Amino acid sequence: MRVLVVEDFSPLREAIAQGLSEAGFAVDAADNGEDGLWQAKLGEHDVIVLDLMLPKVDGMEILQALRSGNSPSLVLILTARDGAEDRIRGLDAGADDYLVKPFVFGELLARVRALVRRKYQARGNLLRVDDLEVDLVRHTVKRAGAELDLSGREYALLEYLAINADRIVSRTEIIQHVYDFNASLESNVIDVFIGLLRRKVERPGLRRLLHTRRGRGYMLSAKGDDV
Amino acid sequence: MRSLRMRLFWWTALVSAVVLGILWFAIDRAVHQTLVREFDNVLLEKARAIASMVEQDPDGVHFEFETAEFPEFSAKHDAAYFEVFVGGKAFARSASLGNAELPADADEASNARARKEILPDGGQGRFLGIAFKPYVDPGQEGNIPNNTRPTASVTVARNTEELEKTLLQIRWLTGGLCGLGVLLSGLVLLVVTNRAVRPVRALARRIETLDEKGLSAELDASRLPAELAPIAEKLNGFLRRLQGAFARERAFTADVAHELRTPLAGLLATLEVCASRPRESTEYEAAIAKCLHMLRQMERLVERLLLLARAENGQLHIRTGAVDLMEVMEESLAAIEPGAVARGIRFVRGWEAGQEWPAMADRELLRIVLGNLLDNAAHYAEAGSAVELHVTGVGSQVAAEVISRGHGLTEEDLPRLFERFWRKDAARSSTGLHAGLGLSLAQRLMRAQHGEISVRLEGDRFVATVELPRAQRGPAMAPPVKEG
Repeated sequence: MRVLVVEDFSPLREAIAQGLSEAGFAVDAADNGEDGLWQAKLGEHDVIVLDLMLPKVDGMEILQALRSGNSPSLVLILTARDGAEDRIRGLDAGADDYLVKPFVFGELLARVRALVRRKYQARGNLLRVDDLEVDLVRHTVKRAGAELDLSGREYALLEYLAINADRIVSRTEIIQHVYDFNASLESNVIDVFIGLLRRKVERPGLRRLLHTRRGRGYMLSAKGDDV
Repeated sequence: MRSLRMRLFWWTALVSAVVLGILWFAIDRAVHQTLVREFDNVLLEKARAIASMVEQDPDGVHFEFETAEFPEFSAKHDAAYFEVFVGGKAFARSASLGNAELPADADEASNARARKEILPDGGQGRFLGIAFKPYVDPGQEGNIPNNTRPTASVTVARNTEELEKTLLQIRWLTGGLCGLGVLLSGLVLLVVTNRAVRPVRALARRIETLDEKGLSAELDASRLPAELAPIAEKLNGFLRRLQGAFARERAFTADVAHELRTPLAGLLATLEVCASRPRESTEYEAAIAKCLHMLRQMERLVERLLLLARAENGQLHIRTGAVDLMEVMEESLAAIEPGAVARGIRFVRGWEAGQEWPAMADRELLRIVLGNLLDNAAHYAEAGSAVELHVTGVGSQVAAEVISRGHGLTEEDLPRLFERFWRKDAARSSTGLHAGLGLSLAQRLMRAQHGEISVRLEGDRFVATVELPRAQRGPAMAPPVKEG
């Protein structure tokens, strides 16, 4: 999952970025409104953590620009203003959630995760594809009850496929939403990770779940075969 | 509490009682005099009528009295009496008089005066006597020699009990009316004042419901009496000022909250993320350094806020003494110059060594003010530009100037520079060191030591000037200035 952090106070921005990336999110950061707006408009982020008082372009302006541009990103406002009016103003302008500074970092993480679930219409923190279970909070994966030993990148990739289960996910999408691939479309780095993932997920005697749709992308599903 | 209403009531009652009392007395006198005069006139008419009945012919003096015309003189009535004297001797008397006598003294008819005396029956009465010559028929005049015409007089008396009774009735009637008047005027006053103070009470109730949230509710002055309208208007003006002050306080509190919460959030997030898993010692060191930096910013902000609050409440401990302006400038520069070099800012000193500019100032406060101006110049001036510094003396004042370029300020921005938390653009600085408190603090601190700070634009040059009274003694002779 990819998150954009727009916050002008650098120690806070850096801490949020570090915390989120350690929790398995792909994180981009902007230290002013102008840069934040430019990045947010790309629409690649699942969640945008947005400070309201920003240099150059105000947080509220960014929010309005995103909402009028039908951005798919969900916005979590982060602000030092805790008046009810400010809350209402923020939510009315199209924010999906609101967090007042200072906050407990765990709460920020929980809210960001809740927004991700909301975006992909998942109900709980446990995603199931056949006998595969992905725990979005603990970042663990079980196949037929046995826990899989996955690296951070492998988990992030599998989580994204699981959250988009039964849908073909393109390589472009994976590059945009999944952490740290830093890969161009031509490189085969994603194929390598899919290969690693397949070796850990697929077991003899169990149903094949990870499918390749040549030229289109990948799909995690209990139905269908590779083409 | 003394009631205005009761005081008004008592005063009105007193004044109206005095006025109506005098009026009562005057009416009573007038009525008394009029009625007595009328009584006397009637008495005189009767005397004249009786006198006209005394006739003389050659046979002598005759008296022809018509009892039917004057029933009051009959014995039955017993209220009026007369006696006619001719030649000093009793000649005739009314039936009512019986055998009693009336006094014979008489006045000329033209100025007859009645007098009060006891009647023969023992009652109070008024007497009137007139002297006259008995009437002689013109045809008989020649038959009566002049010397045989005797002098006659008639005395008339009448009981005044009826008159006294009437006068007493009128006296009590007018007295009662006057008393009623006093009472009524008091009551009317009570009612009127009650009605008059009703808007005051309504105003009081209205004011009672006001709190800091309802300050925007204006008092309706149009429905108040003319005497109270100015109070309501003044109160409205006061409310508006209070509302403005409250709004500024709220904005200030919100700004303080923002300025403190953001670094606090940064601090918490940094520590929580750092503690979330085991790390290399270099990572811990980096996190500690970041936290320290944030804490210093917060400390500085809190210090400034406290200083500002103290300055605004007049709680600064100011110790002014002779201070060399240039020396303080150098001290302040020493703290800021090294950091400014990184942005390529050069400080150009416009003074020569050996000069002295003694000012009356509190060295500590002056250092904060100058440090702030220099820090702003170092932070906001165009990278690589020169900041000019001048120290001059004009008359009884000494002044320090900090001139920098490239602030991007306009004339409209200048007055706002002294507002707390005002920044040209949030972009000009991020949270922390330049929260927009410096200049408002500097202004307070300068005023506290009888100095002044001003800013102006000269093209793209931004000039900040600090003025202080010139010290009489040189700084070398000045006593050491204590800190604090």
